[in-house]
Amino acid sequence: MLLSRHYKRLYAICRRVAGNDADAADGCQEALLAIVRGLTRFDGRSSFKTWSYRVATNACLDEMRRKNRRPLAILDDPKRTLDHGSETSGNYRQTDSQIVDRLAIEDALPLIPEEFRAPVVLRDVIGMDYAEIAETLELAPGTVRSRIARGRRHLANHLQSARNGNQLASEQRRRERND
Amino acid sequence: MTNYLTPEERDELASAYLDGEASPDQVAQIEADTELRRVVSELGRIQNAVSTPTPPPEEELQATQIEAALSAFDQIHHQVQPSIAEVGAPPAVSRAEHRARPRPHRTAPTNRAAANQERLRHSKRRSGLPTWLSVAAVSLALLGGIAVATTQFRSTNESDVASDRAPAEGATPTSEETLSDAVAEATDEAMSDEAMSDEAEVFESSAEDAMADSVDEEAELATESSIIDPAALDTANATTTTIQASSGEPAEIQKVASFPAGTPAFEIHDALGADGFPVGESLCGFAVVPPRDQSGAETYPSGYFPVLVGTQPAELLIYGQDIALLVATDTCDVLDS
Repeated sequence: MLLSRHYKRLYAICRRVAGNDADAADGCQEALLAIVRGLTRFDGRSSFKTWSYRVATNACLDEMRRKNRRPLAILDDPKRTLDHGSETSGNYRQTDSQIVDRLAIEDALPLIPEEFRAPVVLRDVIGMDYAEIAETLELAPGTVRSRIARGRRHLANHLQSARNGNQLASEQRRRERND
Repeated sequence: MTNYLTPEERDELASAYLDGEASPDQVAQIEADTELRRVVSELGRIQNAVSTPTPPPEEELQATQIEAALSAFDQIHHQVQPSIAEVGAPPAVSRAEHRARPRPHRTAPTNRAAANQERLRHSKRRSGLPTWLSVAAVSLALLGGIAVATTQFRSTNESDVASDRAPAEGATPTSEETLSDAVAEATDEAMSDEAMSDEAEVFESSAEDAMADSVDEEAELATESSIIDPAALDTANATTTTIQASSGEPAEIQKVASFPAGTPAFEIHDALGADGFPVGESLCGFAVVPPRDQSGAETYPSGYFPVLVGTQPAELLIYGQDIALLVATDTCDVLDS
């Protein structure tokens, strides 16, 4: 029951850390196993939620390190275009630029250093405040603040590169059509 | 205007502002500065993109993954418990003593079919297992029931809890390879030949007794009603105790279940059955938020009621119909005096 109650959030952490469903599923399974293995060491000094999120974050990062996966570039992946279409007709109702941002971020997140990725995920996916993140990742609150900012800056730079790449690709296609 | 700030400092300030972690002075500084507002907007876009919900996991995946984790847990717990016994934490309980102990009353599962399935699963797992594991399995099932009833009282997170309680049984694995790998890995770690051999030696003499006990427990479970009106929680089989809360005012609490010494903290967390129970920083462990009445006022004095778990006896207590509270029975000063 305890696992069921926290599963979706654990999965959400893994999904963001891993960047795709397949790796998220593997990472989440590793996280659940890490949690049940570590349960006997859980001493109740922190909440189960904090403890399990820490275990899950580390398990997913370990899984990603083990696989050493790199995400595919979104522009080269035709399936992503289909996903894009289904999401615009779904509940999200995002604007095109928001969807492009989200897809670019999804690809960029696994590329930024882990030390920045974990606090950003815990903040923006789980909604933890800085103090909770500090406790979960065993960092000083000031470090959390700085790492989240730096993580977001990394993502902003990736996003900018993706936009520039988009523009270049569009211009290239336009030139090819004209030729 | 922001020449005095490095780009990193600007990012940090803007990021803290977005997260509601900036001080009032910093908020004023940002709102008065166009360059900082631009950075806020830029990073806000990132924040929006990251916080966009990802597709939820398939229920089938959830069920199979949890089942795999539970299987691993069974294997691990099977091995860990003797080491607890070696250090003398949980006292040995004879069948007669076990039966003589007052039993916590049963609580109402929200889904009887799921509860029955769960019971069946525990029954299957108990077959042929040592006495301590049979007792532990039954205790977990009972505590799970208490947790379900406890969560019924809570208005928050109710829908999440209900939706999260997807049946873990009977699901067909969709990622058999992943799961079998995971289970195999956990099994390998938990059940080495040496451990199996040691465990067999430790429990050889009690195996027959365990089988009989397991059958008895099953019969008892079958005859007991699985539905108890939650309103009866504070009357049936409960004993009332008055403790002195940290504020100095008395608080009446009622005992409905207890945990033996050596109960892992996570089992007690599970028995509490709800998210959001904060845990005190005290070395003595658990604390619980007091329930609030309709006006939002706490219905008994606030403050932590720490207990020591893991090595000392602890009790799960229900206050009125809303609160689960843990209090040590013999040690660990619950009276904040």
